[in-house]
Amino acid sequence: MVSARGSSGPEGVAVELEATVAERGVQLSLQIEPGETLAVLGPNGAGKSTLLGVLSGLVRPDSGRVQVGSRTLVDLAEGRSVWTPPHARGVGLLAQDPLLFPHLTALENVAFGPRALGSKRVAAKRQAMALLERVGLAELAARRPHQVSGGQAQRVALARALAAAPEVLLLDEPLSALDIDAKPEVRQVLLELLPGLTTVVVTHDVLDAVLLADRVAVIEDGSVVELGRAAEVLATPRSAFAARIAGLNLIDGAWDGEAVRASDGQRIHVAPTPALAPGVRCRAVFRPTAVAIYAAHTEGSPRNELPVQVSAIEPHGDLVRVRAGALSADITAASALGLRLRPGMPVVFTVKATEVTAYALG
Amino acid sequence: MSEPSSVGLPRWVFLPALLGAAFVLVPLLAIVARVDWTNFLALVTSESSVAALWLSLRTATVSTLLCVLMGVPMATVLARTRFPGQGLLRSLVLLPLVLPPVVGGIALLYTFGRRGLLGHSMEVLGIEIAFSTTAVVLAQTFVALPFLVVSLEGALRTAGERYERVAATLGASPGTVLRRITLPLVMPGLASGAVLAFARCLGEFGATITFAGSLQGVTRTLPLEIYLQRETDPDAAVALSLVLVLVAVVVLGWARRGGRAW
Repeated sequence: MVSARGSSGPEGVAVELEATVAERGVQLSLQIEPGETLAVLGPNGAGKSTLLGVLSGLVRPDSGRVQVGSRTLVDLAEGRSVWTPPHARGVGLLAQDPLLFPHLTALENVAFGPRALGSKRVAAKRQAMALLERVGLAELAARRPHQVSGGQAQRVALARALAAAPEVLLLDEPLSALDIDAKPEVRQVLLELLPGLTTVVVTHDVLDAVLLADRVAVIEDGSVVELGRAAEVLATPRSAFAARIAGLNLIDGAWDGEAVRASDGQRIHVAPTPALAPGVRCRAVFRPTAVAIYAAHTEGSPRNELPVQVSAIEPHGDLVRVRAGALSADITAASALGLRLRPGMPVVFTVKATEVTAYALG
Repeated sequence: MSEPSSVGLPRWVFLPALLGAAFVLVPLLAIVARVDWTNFLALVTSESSVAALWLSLRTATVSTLLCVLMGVPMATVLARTRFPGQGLLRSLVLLPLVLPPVVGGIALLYTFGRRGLLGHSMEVLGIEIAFSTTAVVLAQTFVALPFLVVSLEGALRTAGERYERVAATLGASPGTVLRRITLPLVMPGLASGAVLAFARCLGEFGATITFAGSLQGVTRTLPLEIYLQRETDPDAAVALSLVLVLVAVVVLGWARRGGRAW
């Protein structure tokens, strides 16, 4: 296959990386499948940023190899010194901070990549406009960066990164600097635009890892300690870090037009309503902290109600984690005492529709 | 809400502060008070005055251009690269900032003068610089260049390299990054640096009189003309001084505006 830059079709490129950066105590080895989104989780200082730096060319490893598709970008093994500078890599980067060029309009920002890669002015602007439309911001094309909101700026930054037609896109905590209100809009755009493009997303948010990624890598102390499908790593965590962040509630089912209908008939309402076709297989996701527990069914509640049987109660940080089969709820010790919870007891897990996110299963 | 209010200052600070302000402003007022207004126009439009003013504006413009042409690359290299001896090199290059201009003039004389380091070989080529308008330009450039380099290097460091890194990941080569990101972002700093350099060029005296001499219409710039007139025609000297003060005020206004481009 010819690895033309900009082939962001369903057949993305594979990435192989091996890198040692002694100064940061990092020794990484990683393979990314063509077109997949890999989420990278791990504590601060574990080596996540170093990984992105090595891929983008902003960090030079002491030794290692980076292969993107058929191109060897870096080969610093004994006696070899292949080094591709950042601008010649075809590796895009979207950071926490959108970093839109302040002296250019939104459209000029997005057109920057195509212009730098040699497109004519008119063609670059047309391409930029098309991408602004894809992130839903065509009407802001003439605005300056200081005239748009944080979420809009990040969407423009995503359009700008995609306009440079990267073979690999790196996302460095793309949602973490955003307001609570702005996160969903950017997350939605990422969900729409990432499939098919080989992507690495560093995140602190396990929900984003599950939503955006096909596979999850956990990095601890400078090396990859876990790598697998997102749901599996989080369901059966083997590293301490994965165990700490795991416990996300996942309910698989089919979209019936209004809610996610699980195989046992339980319906989970989701707000705002996701753009899913009726009948499509999908997964509802919510955090244990979003769950409240009641002793019995409450009449006329607008919440999702899940009748369950308590299987285990264990301390979880400042809270108490109540397990009921595959589901978990994190509640305060006081409410656990108030409910007089014990294993085997039937209770109702409730969760607001606004706390639930649903996405289609590939 | 506006800025949080400051914690205040002790009252005694205002006395020396006021004294300092008066120390700067009163002499300027003294010039205005001393101006012979009835003959003002005649004094500043005399043949020698106009020649000096015209020469000053021409040479300062060319010198500022030279400062930009050499200073922008210098500031960029100093702000964006690291090499052994960089700190020392920076100090040496910025030396004219603290050097007495007379010393600068002597240094230039022994570089480009007839018996200077480069002067002899230049004479062979038929180029003679000392005591020419070119010498005025060289003297002004010599003393003004560090002003531009210092202010632009500061602007480059403040702007940081974050936008440049983003541009590189978008496929921009180092040349494209410099042209489309780095320089546009520091344009306010460059503009105010250039204005400062221009002002320094206009006021240049010591290096000019040492290296270029004082030939009417050729090397006698406005400050030299003022110094000369002071002995023969004090009224003319005062009138021309006021002209320079006004030019300085205008230049300073520009520099302040340039610092707030966005």
